Amino acid sequence: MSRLLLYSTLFLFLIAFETGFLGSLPLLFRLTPVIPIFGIWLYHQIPSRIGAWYLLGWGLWYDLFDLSLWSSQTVIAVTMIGILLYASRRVFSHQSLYGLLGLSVILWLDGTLVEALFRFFSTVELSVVFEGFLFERLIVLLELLLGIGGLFLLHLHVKDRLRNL
Amino acid sequence: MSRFGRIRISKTTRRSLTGFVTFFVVLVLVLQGTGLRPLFFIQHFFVSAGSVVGKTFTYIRTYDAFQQELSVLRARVTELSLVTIQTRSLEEENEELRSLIGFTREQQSFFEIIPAQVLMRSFDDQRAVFVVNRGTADGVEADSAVVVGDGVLIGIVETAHDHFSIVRLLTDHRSRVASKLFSSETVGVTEGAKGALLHFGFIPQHVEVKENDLVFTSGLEPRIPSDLMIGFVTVVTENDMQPFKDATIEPIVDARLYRTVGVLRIPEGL
Repeated sequence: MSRLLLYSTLFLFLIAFETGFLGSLPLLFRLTPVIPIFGIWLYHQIPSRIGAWYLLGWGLWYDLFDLSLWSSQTVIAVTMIGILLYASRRVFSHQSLYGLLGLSVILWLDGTLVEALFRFFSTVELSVVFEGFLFERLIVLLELLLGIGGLFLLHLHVKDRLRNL
Repeated sequence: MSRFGRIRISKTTRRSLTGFVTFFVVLVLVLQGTGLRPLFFIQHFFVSAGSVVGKTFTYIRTYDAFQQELSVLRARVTELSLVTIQTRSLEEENEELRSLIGFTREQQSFFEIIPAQVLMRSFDDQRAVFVVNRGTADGVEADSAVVVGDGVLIGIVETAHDHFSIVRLLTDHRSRVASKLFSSETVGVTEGAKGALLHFGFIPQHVEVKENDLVFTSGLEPRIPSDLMIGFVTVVTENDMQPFKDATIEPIVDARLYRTVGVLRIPEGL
C-alpha cells in the first residue's frame, strides 16, 4: 500500500509538472512527454508494471481535463501499452540502450499514427489540423529519446555507484 | 472444473489492477469534492513557476524583435492618444446623454469578475485550452468570457464543472467570437486561425480596414459583453473577385503567460 501511495504521489507530481510547469513554457519545452518517458523507462528497464499504468493514467488525465485533441489521448495510451507489453518482452533487450531507444521510436510511431488518424477524421480542414504536426512530433521524438536515454544512463550510473559502496 | 470455466489472473496483475482501480476511484472522488484544493495548489505552483520561466524565455528569444516592436508601439501609442482624446469627449457626451435618460454607469456594467487561477495547459497549439480552479459552484457558466488585464478577452469557458472549468482560448481553431472593428464598427466573427493568430472574415469590400485597427467584442453573445479588446489587424487580404475581404488579427496578449484570469458573469437576479 505504501508503494502504491509512493507511485501515485510520483505520478501526480509528474503530471502536475508536465501540464503545469512545462505547459507554460514555449513550444519546444511544452511538448516534453514526461509521463511517457518515465512510463516506458520504468516498464522496460526496471522492469515495473507501474510504467504501463502511468501511461494509462496519463491518457485518462488528459482526457478527463479535456486537454487532448478530441479525447484521443486514452486511445493513444492504450495502443502504446499494447505495443509496450509485447515488444518489451519479445523484441527489445532490457540491458541495451539501443533496445530502449528502438522501443521508444516504435511507441512514438504508434502515437503519431493514432493522432494523425484522429486529426484526419476530424471535421476540421486538413490544412489547419495538420499545421506544424510533423514538426511537433519530431520535437516529441527528440525529447522522448533524450529523456529515456538520460534516465537509462543515470540508472546505470547510480547502480554502479551503489555497487561500489 | 471445466478448462473454460475460469480465467487465471496472476497475483501481481491482480494487485496492480486493484491498486490502479483504487487509485482512480480515489482520484475521481477527489475531483468531485473539496479534496481538489491540495492538487490545485501543486498545479498552480507549477503553472506560476512555468509562467515566470516562460516569460524569461520569451524575453530572451525576442529581444531584437522587442526593439523593433518598441518603435512600432511608440507610433501606435501616439495614434491611440488621439483616439483616447476623441473617446474621452465621446464619453463625456455619453455620460450627459445617460443622465438625461436616467441611467447610471453602475447599472450598465452589470458583469461581475470571478478571479480564477490557471491550473493546467494543453501542450498542443491545435488545442489551445487551459483549466482554471473555478467552477459552477463559484458561479462560472459555460460560454462566459475570460479576460485578463483591463478587459482583454483571451478565451471562453468551454465546460464548467463543479470545482473547475475548461477554458478555450481564442487561438483554438474552434473558437468563434462576435466582434467588431474599432474604426468602422464593422461587425464580424473572429475565429482561431493557424498558430497564435486570429482571423476576422466577411468584411465587405467597401469597408476600409487598416493595419493596427483594433478589434473588440461586439456584445452580440449573451455572456460576452461588448468592447472587450481582442487584438489588432496585422494583415488585410483583399481579392477583387470576392465580395468580402479578410483580416489577420494578432491578439493583444499572449494568454499562455498569465496565471490569474477573470471570468465574467451576470449576477443572479439580472
